[in-house]
Amino acid sequence: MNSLKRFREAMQRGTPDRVPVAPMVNVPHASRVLGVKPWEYVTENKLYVKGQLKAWRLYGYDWIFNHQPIQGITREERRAMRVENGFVVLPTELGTTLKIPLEGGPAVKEPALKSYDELDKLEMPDLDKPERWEPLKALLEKTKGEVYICSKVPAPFHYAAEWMRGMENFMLDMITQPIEVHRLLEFMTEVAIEIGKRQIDLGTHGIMMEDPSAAAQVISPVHYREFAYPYEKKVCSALRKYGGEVIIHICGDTTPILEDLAKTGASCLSVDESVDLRDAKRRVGKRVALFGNVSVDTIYRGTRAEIEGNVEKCITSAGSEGYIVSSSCGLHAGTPIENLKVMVNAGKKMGAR
Amino acid sequence: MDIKKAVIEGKIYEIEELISQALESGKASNDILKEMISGMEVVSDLFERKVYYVPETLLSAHAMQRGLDIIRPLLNYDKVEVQGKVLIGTVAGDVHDIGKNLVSMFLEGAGFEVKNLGRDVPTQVFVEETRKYKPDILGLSAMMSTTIVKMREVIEALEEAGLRDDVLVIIGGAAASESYAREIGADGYASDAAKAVKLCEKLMKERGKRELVKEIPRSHAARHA
Repeated sequence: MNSLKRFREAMQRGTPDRVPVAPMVNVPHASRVLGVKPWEYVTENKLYVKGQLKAWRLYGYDWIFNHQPIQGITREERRAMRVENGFVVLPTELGTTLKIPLEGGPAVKEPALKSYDELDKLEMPDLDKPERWEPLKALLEKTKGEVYICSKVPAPFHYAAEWMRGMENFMLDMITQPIEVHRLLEFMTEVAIEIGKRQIDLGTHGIMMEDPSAAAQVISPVHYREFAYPYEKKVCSALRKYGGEVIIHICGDTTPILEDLAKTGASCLSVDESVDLRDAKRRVGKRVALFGNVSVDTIYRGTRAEIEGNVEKCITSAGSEGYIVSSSCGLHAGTPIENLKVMVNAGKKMGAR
Repeated sequence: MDIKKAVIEGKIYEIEELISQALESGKASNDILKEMISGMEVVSDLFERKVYYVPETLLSAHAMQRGLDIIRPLLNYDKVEVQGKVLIGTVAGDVHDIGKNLVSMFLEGAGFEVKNLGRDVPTQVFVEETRKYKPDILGLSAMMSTTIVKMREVIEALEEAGLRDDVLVIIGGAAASESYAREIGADGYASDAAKAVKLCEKLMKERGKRELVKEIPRSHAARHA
């Protein structure tokens, strides 16, 4: 059984020959493996593809996480890139300006919307530019159906909060101007669905939607059900109808909203370490596959025994049916390559039937 | 509606009017401050018990800020008891500051004097501000796993500058943890804003409450710097 078949089997809540292993190899780690600066990895599509492929070959895990939120960087975006106070500043087509430190991952410098009056002028990013799809095409071509390629779409709630309005504004907007918030979320939902459909057309195997701002430490279940859930559901059902399968990842606690998440139409839920996998399996295991949740803290600084112990605990709690062993979140910057090797190898060994 | 309730319910559009009315009817600004602080204590408790989440808590904090903006120039500082001075900021490279702002507002609500350096604060700025502002406690926040290493850097820089013994360093944010605090030699860790207030109160008790501080900086302005 190759990685692609193994991963697909688990996504359909089946029991493959062994539990698939799929750590969330993100900007800091992939650039580290490739030996380039994080900003080079983020802004050069070729380096991005190289980094992901090199990490996949090095560790031999079962997926590739095609994690750029609006996919490949276009020529226009690259042209607008500049260096400011030791940061690489990257304006995006959604109107959000990102900044990337010389070491470390990208963060939002300026959210797109100062007020909701600007919402009517907002345009869908141009998805016809060929550079957007260079990374996904290259990853599919180079891996020839060996491995599960999972491509990211921007979750409406999280990207509305972090990219479009800024977190603090958005949190207040939910109470003070909910109608405008819903208008923005409708727009972001269209963006996510459109990006997802293009990825499915090109042949992506799965879709990843990360919605951390909807975590239960941040908003109440009531707010989750009003502002996050309906749009997660719209994206998942539209993409499912279009032939895709979606993993929703929320870093942070999702214990109070697991049943809701399972009803979004997602095929799989990726949970953080604050969620008890055994409890999650019991509550939603009949509806969705589970993904997670070896502590990124342990992978970062744990001993071999601690990392192996954590992997074992996850696999014992979740069982080998409908389960993919992964990190609880994106890997910490500075995670030693040796440590991730221990995690991946432990997953392969302990997850075997 | 009274002022305490306006803070608890986050009445950002009504609180200014309420305070003006109270002042006109002869209420002392220091008493208004006390009412707002007791409102914030309730908010902090609701947040800790997961009745309030980030949006509700932020709304209350903003209501309190609007109130503070009115009464700050009117306060009689001889009668304001200050719990301690806290300098706070999010480390370099990290632009997440919602949690840190909540900590800052809760601390103000609990009677601390707070200087908020904002987000993405270079290590050297923490050192210089510690030297100038002489806080009892320095709070460092990091949300991202990619920036947490900066916390260690700040502590080392404080040591190099000979300032480490003058200030208690506490850390928080999604990327931080109790064990990380121990590892880098910080004096404490709190997992949320309500716990951060309790931690600061505990640390101040151990250190001994400082002398009355008469000069309170315009921390609201500092927040938006």
